[in-house]
Amino acid sequence: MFQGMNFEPATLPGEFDGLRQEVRSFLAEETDWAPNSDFNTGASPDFSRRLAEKGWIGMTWPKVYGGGERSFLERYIVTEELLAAGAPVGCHWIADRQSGPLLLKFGTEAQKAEFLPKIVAGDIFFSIGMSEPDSGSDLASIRTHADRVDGGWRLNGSKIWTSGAHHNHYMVTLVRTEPPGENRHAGMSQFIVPIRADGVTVRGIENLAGESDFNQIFFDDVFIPDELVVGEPGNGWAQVMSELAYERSGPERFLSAFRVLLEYGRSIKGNATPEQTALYGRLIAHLMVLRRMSVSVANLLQQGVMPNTEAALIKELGNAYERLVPEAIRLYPPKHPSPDYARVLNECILHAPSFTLRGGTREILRGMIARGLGLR
Amino acid sequence: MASESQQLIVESSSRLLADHVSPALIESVEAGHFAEGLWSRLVEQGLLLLGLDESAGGYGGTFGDQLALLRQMGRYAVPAPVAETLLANHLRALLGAEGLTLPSAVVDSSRLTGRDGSFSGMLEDIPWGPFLQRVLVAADTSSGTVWIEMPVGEIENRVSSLAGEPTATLRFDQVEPLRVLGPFIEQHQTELLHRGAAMHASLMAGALEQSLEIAVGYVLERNQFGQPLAKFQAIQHQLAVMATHVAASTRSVDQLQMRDEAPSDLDVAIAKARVGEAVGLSTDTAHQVMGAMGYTREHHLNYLTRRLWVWRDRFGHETVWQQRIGEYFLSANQADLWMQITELS
Repeated sequence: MFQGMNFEPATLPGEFDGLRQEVRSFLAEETDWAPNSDFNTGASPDFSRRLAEKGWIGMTWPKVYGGGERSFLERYIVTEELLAAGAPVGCHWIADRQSGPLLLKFGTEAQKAEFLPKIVAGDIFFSIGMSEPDSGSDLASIRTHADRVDGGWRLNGSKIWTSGAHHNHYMVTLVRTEPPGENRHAGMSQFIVPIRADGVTVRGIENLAGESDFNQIFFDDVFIPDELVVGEPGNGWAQVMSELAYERSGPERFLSAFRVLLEYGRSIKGNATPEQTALYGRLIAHLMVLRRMSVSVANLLQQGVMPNTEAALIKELGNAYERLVPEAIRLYPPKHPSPDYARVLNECILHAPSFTLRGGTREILRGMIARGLGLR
Repeated sequence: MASESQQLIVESSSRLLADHVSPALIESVEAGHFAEGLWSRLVEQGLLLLGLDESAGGYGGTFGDQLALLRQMGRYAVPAPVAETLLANHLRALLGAEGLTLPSAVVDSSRLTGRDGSFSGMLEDIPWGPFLQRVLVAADTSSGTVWIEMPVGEIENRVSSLAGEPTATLRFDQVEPLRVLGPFIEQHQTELLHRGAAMHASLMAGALEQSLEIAVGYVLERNQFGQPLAKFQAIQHQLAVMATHVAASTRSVDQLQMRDEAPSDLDVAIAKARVGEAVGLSTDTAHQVMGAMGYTREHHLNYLTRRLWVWRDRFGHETVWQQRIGEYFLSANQADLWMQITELS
């Protein structure tokens, strides 16, 4: 492909098969949730704690912070097993995927010692505070700002579309610590905002499915001590960009509709028409190729490479696939639907509009791929 | 992705193809003239015997090496029966015969009938028919079905494929075979189908990569409304989407090349189905962003596009392979989908 795009074949080493079996055994014992492969749909603090007991949160992090010092590929196996099973991963997902790695990279020793062990234990959960009422894809236009005060910062403004803020403890929040200047990417910082702090208000926003998953957050003179600033003040933009490869290349970008495909297969097995068989084969072919591309990127992450363009490409292709699955399947409905078929299909259709919005809109991703092609 | 030997093949074949494949050559072939010069170079470099063991008259190498070569051939829209000849050599090797560098093809869509040592019948719509010197074909005889190697004699109904490949019906009227290769075994037929599909997936992946590069190069140079087309978001986004499908195609084909042994039937099915599906969107996009220029005969994009349109139908189009994939995953003895997927990796 083009220079700078690399999907070098990699495979998940067979030595990790035991881990995969262990995750499956663990999941087989789980009974108190209805499966949904959309990582943003199910959230259970109890489930996250049970997972933590197994050592499957923060599993790549240093042992000194409670991590498992396992490889990125082992984490990949755990996360894809959880998603395929439709486990309620929503509580710890962001902390494990993004906030923890961010702190490891930019956090102070005190921050790492304070937060990472609690994340690993499943005791604290994180949200992402990026979008604002007037700043969506144009993230650099944020207006939430903080003024210097004695010992810290005074925070004012509002964030929106903050998934899980109603049950999470902290949000890593991008704020302006200097007024916008000529370089619009300068003057931003990342704060760890305790969601229950004085002056923070969380207001739920119902989504089209009637669920309250995301929120608007209001900051009204919230005091943020210096100890909760991540990295260097002013370096926020670069730090946010460094999270993107983690955020965009993982299996949650193409497995959101997996339960639909699974229940479809269960439903048509033994009575499939040729059209249904071909559709099933087509959707599996796409899935297998996406998974291989995603494993290739996981392997690059393991080697310390930050493949941002590849990650954007996987998310764009994977999201398109997640949107395709329910739309294609509904046109060839099974004659004998499995008990869960209608529920998972309906849930997927209701959630589908979010697939191509969260974690970077389709339009932003296409722009990144275009840059990788040398068009921008 | 590519092993060291594959990288060498890519480098040496790229040089050869860059030197010897031109629009003029492709036009000449489409007008009915065999690409003698190109073919001699391929013979000299031993590329037509690639992947054959020394015992079969080859120079060694793997099927993955062949696929790496064909991906380059795809990039250059090579106007000669290279995949067909490599496949014929594989059948020869399977049946214990030496490989040949003569333009050859395997035909198993119809059979000849043998009587008293000579064979008759019609083989219809054979790509490259007028250029072939040998045809390996199944034939029914009183003592069973055999593979035979036939000289190409009478040619009828010369037509052209979408890609302008000279195509013809080959007629045999009590013709003696050059050799009886051995008994017709269904397993060989299945193997040939999969090899042919893998080869065409590789050809397509190369042509898709090249089409994307051409389209990107064009929009960077072409100015409209006072700036390069590349600056328009509408153009950027179309090419970005095309790039996702081209990347999926190359990754599907990498999977076939990455091992020394032949790829699994399922991986071949996935590659042929996935790459084939990428062709429609990719050719649409490349032509759309290039405007009328890409629609001309003069611009070389058309040589890639027309071949892509042919290759996606050869050795089974998308639906054929999608059904096989579906059947594999629906078969009664198979476990739940996720277990199947992770076991395959």
